[in-house]
Amino acid sequence: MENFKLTDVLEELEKDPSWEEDDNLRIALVNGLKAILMLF
Amino acid sequence: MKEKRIYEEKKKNFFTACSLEEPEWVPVGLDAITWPIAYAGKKTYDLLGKPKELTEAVMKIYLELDLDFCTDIHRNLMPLKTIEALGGKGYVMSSDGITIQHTMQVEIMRADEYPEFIEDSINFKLNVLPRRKFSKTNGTREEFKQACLDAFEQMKLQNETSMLLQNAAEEAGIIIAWDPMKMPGHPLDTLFDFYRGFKGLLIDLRRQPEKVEEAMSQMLEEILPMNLKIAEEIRNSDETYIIPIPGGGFHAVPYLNRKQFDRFWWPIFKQLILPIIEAGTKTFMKSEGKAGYCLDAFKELPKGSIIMQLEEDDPYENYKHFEGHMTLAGGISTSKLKLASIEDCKDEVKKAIDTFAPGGGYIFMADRALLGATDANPETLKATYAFAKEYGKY
Repeated sequence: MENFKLTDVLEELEKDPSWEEDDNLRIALVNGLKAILMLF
Repeated sequence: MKEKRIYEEKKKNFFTACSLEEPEWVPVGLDAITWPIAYAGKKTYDLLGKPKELTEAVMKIYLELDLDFCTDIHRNLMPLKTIEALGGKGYVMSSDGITIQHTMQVEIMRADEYPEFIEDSINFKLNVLPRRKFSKTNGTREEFKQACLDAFEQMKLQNETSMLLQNAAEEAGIIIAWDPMKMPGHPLDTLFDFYRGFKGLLIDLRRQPEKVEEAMSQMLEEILPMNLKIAEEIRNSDETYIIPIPGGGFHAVPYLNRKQFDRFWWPIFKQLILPIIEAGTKTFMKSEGKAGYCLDAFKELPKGSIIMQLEEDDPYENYKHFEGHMTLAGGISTSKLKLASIEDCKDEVKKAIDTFAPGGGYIFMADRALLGATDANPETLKATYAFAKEYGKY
């Protein structure tokens, strides 16, 4: 297993408009994914 | 805009009933998760990620019944495909292809890990625990990033489905109990459902109650500001919401004794729910399992703020906790809708409406959600619901 923090990747995705240009949607999706990772 | 007018009339009628006043008719509600998909002759898994097809299948039964209210129309959207994209096994399809099962009643977090949880809960929940649940967090950084991107695609489809269902239900004049702001769950239920599991948490409450309390305080510190922000958004909105209790219902509560309920659940629940109630919502609660022992506590909340569906508690025995204070949702058991004759079900409807409807504060619906294909006989359900609508006129 490569040594990295999941939160670093999530933070990078939150700032990266290349996969989703809409800032609000991108932030909402990352927050939704955090909830899924934490709970499910 | 005939549909809009009908929707507004039903909403007014519904809120009158839940405000403990006599409405024009007893509102009729459906609590169903995946049963409507089976009723439409489809399989759930085939429709996940297909917003239009899933909406069409789910809406078939909702359009055939004259409904005022529904609870779980969005829960058909359990994020199974998102979880799969991350390599998770927390939810799986049942062999019937209809129902989705939660498999996380295991100890993802160990009993000796409370100090780590308490010290930095976000780090523990986001960097440590997911590695035990999602296989795609255990490869390379790039593999995890790609899994996230795949998950986002599934989440977008899920959001699209959610909006289509919401719109279709409103066009059909049906009020939905839903939580557009995603209110966080009760910390004890979260520990129970997702981290320590059924057995682990119940042992912790006896062996290390202070640690459970510390963990809950930590979680409360994280979620309380979110709840206050949600309350503010609700207060500033023109919309009137019926919000389901976070997490959908009582989870840990049926397994607690009264002393544990008073110490670990109720004080935190009040802190979470009061700002939401004071913002002007009605909260829909499912008392999953047996929870009659704690219903008197709800008299501490403002009158007319709670709508409670009783699952295994006898509504006739427990009505004393409701009358003049909160709305009872119930009146027929799903086992009757599955096995009894239509005439027997109609007798049950009469008895429920005669007992609970006078003075308002009553919604007719079944005692629990319909999940699998055989959970209710469709013809019995349709006849019973039609009768409830007719007999429930004031």
